[in-house]
This record gives sequence, C-alpha cells and structure tokens, in this order.
Amino acid sequence: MANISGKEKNFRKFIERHFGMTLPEGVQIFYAKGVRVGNTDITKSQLTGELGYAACDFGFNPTNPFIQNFGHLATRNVVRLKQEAEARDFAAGKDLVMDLGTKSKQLIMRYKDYTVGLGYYDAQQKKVQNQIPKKRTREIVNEL
Amino acid sequence: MDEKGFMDWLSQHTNAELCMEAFRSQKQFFRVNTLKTGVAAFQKATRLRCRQTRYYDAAFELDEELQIGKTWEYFLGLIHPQSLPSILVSLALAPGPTDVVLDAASAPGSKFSHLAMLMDNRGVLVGNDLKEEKISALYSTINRLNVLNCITTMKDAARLGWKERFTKILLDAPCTALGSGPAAYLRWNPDHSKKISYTQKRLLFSAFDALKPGGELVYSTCTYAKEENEDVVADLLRNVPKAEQVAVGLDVPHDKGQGEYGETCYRIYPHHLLSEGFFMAKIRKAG
Repeated sequence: MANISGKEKNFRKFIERHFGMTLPEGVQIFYAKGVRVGNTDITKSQLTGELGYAACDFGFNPTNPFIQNFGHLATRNVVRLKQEAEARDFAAGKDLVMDLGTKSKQLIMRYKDYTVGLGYYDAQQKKVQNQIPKKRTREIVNEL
Repeated sequence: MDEKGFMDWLSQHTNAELCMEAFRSQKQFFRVNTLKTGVAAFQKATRLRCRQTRYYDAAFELDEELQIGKTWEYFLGLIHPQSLPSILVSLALAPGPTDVVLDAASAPGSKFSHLAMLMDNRGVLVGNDLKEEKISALYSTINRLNVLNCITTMKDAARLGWKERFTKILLDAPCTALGSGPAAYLRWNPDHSKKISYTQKRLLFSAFDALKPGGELVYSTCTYAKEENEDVVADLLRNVPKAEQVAVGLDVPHDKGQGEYGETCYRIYPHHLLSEGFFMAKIRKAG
C-alpha cells in the first residue's frame, strides 16, 4: 500500500503534459502492484488487497479504463470523431486510418461528449491503433 | 425437478401460477451509474426507450427488445443491467460515504458497484470473492463503471478472519437461484437447498464476525427455499446473542418471510416487480 509521492507526482505530470488532464480532488494515484487509481480513503484504511484499478504501466502507458473514466478531463491529444460509424468501429475494436501528422503518440478518441477509448497513433502507417482490450470491445447496436 | 413438482412445491410458499406467469414475462431493468453521469443528464441524452421505476430514481425499465450489453450506454459505463430486486438489496444496506463496507461474495459486481454509487465513490468498499475468474469479472465491472473506493480480496468468505472491521456488510450468498429464471427448477431438488444451507450458515457467521458493533448486515439470495433463507438467518439469531433482526425498510411489494424469524424478512417474487425472485433480511450487531 506504499504511496510514493515522487512517482505519483511523475504520473500526474505525465497526464498533465500529455493530455492536459488534472485529476479531481479525492482521486489518488498510488503504486501498489503497478500504478493504480483510487480514492484517498482506501489508502488510509488498514485493509490489504488490490486497491482501486490499474491506471497505467510503469512506462506511462495509460490503461483504457483509466482513459474511458477520466478522458473527459483531457484537453490535449484528443481526437474528436465526427461520424458515429467511426466511433462504432472504434468501440468494436477496429483501427482507424487517418493522417494526424508525423509524430506517433497516445490519443484519446472522443465522440460527442463521450470518451470512446484509448488509441495509439502510428505516424508511419497513418492509422490509430485500437488500444481497447478485446474483452471490452462491442458491436454497438443503438445510436448515441 | 419437473414443472408439476416444482409448482406443487412453490404453492407452499406463494401463488405459484401467478409467480410462473410473471417469471415468463420478466422485464429488463438497468441502473444508471451515477459515478459517471447524473440521472437527469442520462434521461436527457439517451435514445433508449425506457422509463424510470417508481421505487428508485436510478432504476429504469427498458421498453424495447435490445441487448443492453450491446448499447453505447453500457459500453460507456453509463448504465448497468441489473434486476430490480438486485438493485433493492444495496438500497436495503444503504451505505454512506463514511462507511467501511464489505461485499463478502461480490462477483460479478452488480450490487458491489451499486454500493460504490451509494457511497459516492468515497469511504472504503471491500469486494471479496473466492476464485480468480470471479475476481476477474469483478474487475471488469470496477473498470467499466469507475469504482474508485474499492479494495478487492480473494478469500474464502466462510473464513474471512476479519474481526469487527466493517460498519456495513452485504452477504449475497451463493444459492440455488430458483428466483433467477423459469428453467432454474429443472436442475434443482430440495436436497440441493439442504446441502448449500450449511455453507450459507458458515458464510453468515463469518461475515457477522467481521461486523463492527452497531453495524448492519444484509443477507440476500435469489432463491425461495426456506432452508437457504429464513433458516440461515434463524441459525445466527438463535446462536449469537449480539445478532438482532431489524426491518429491511424498503417500500416495495413483497411477502413476509416464513417461520419464527420471518416477520422482518422480504420475499420478493417475480409477480411483485416483474423481475427475478429475491430474499433479503437485515441484521444488526448490538454494541
């Protein structure tokens, strides 16, 4: 249940720098079997177990759940999808072909006001690789 | 057991004809996840054909034939499919943001995530289950619905080993699931209930040990057999002087429980809410 403030600071710096994202008060990043996100109360409790859920790996690659739940706070590296069909494809686990420049990077894919998921832009192949875990992908049957 | 045998058995508990008819015309319900959206915001934005239930603002009945798990709302974690009585179980426990809560058999996490919602993602919510695949299903719910106040553990709930740590505990015990659907009785006979009752009693004693004095525990199942419901509760109440029965306190249609300790228990049959059948009882630890 170690809370190493230096590492937490680094993660906060990373999401601030890369996504322009500041986490709300009461949300804590901590290092216990990986980088995890939870509330401040659980880290103060004397109970042992897996705290919160995984936020990113040690290489600062955020998890899809972290992005789906906090992506609405991002102001940078956000791709706003214009067509529902594209958003539907991304939710179904497909990569999206698009030219977003020459730099590869992690991206938040958004449709309307909602974060669809995490992507990785591959500048060489000019496509956004889908980072949503297979188990979470869905063939969506209704309209948003 | 065949249908006739089950109907005869069920007639000893409730109006079997009404119950089976309601079984077959169950509605689909879901809960709006207020950890990710507001109820009013959801109603404004959604294109799902649904209506709010009269029992709880965040519970909705779906008015169209649709697999909820394939909707945008589900994918985005805005809703969670859950039967109405299952939603009521967490409301009966009614945890708040300062509570330290244990869900002793928490997978796949429907009630667990609802508890987090009632706690406003604050306080501490411990989700326990026995097997890795169950914990994996629980994680999936935690991730999708943004449960932040949680600690997950993988223990045998009959041997939790926690003494007086929690202010509220939910024990939704493994059961024969006769309330879960019309086909459940086909794989059931009364001996199954007698066998599982022993395990349920052990689970309840273990959970009660983990409850702080003054704390409250809700025991629930989705079955009708008295051996798995009132008898389990009665066993604790008879043997543990600190265990006191309290009212479930929900204003919903139900039958009272059976036997000596049945008065304050709820039996919810399919014809009460056009949803699955449930049993619940609330117990307090004197202190």
